[in-house]
Amino acid sequence: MRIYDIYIYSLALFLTLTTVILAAFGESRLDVYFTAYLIETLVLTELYIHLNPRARRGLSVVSVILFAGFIGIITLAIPRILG
Amino acid sequence: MRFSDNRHNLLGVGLASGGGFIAVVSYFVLNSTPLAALGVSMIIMGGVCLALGRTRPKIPPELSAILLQSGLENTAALVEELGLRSKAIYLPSSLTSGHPQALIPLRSNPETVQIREALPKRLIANYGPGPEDIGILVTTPGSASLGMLGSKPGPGAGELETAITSLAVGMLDVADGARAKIVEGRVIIEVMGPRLDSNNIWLYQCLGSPLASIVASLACEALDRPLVIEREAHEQARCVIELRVLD
Repeated sequence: MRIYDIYIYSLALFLTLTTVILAAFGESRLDVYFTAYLIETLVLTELYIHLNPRARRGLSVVSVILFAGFIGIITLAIPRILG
Repeated sequence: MRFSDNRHNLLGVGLASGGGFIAVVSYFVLNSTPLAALGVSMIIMGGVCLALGRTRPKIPPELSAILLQSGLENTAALVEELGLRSKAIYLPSSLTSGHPQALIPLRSNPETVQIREALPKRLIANYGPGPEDIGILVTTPGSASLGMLGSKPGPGAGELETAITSLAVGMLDVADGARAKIVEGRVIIEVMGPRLDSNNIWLYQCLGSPLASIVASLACEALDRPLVIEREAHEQARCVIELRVLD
């Protein structure tokens, strides 16, 4: 499916560019990288509105897992912020 | 199709496992956050590839092409044997037995065909009171593909364009994009980057090419009006399909 390939190439490009740019700025916190990846994945998935419903359901599962990871990061960060 | 035959699955497993290894080694051994982040991004890519791999069609494309060709050849033989020369009239599901179909009338002039009520589920259908008001009712590639959309598209040009793009680009992968406009009883649809063959055979003169058939079925269902394929022009990297809405 051509649209799948274009989606994968776009996501790979965005994630790689994000990694390079944040590394160039000397970012050393892994949670910042992860948050950027999460936002990019969610935005790109929403932009590809013509993906078939089964593909969108599969990608929703991926988004939920990433969001659960984000919630875990927030949960670990709260004691550090309050403490 | 087995799990290992799907290239997206293989790519997903490779990226996820490689990314996991890189992330763990980079974070705990090399103490390099950018490399660990790269590993995490590979895991995300692996998950995406696995999610998309599960949605690939189970029927191989070669088998789908064989089924399409055999179906079209059977319909072509039927039309040729009956000596039908008129253009097919695409009917919405409200005028057929539940899904859009194409009526090929015995009359040469489709303008005179007036269908006011739903036709019975028969191959040979009487659509009017006269003895010559007979035609054959066939299921086209467009009829079969309409079930893939979750809901009936609306009658506006924008909604029709979105439905055609979703079907042709997102689900069937037969084009790169589509544009639609409705002007004075005509629907003009431009399909960019079509990938279906449009051989100039008699059946395509009657029913339209498979791509035109899909577009016509979608348009007649969206407008809830019968229509005919007036013109189909294949130019460089695009196909322009002009449909005429019948009264």
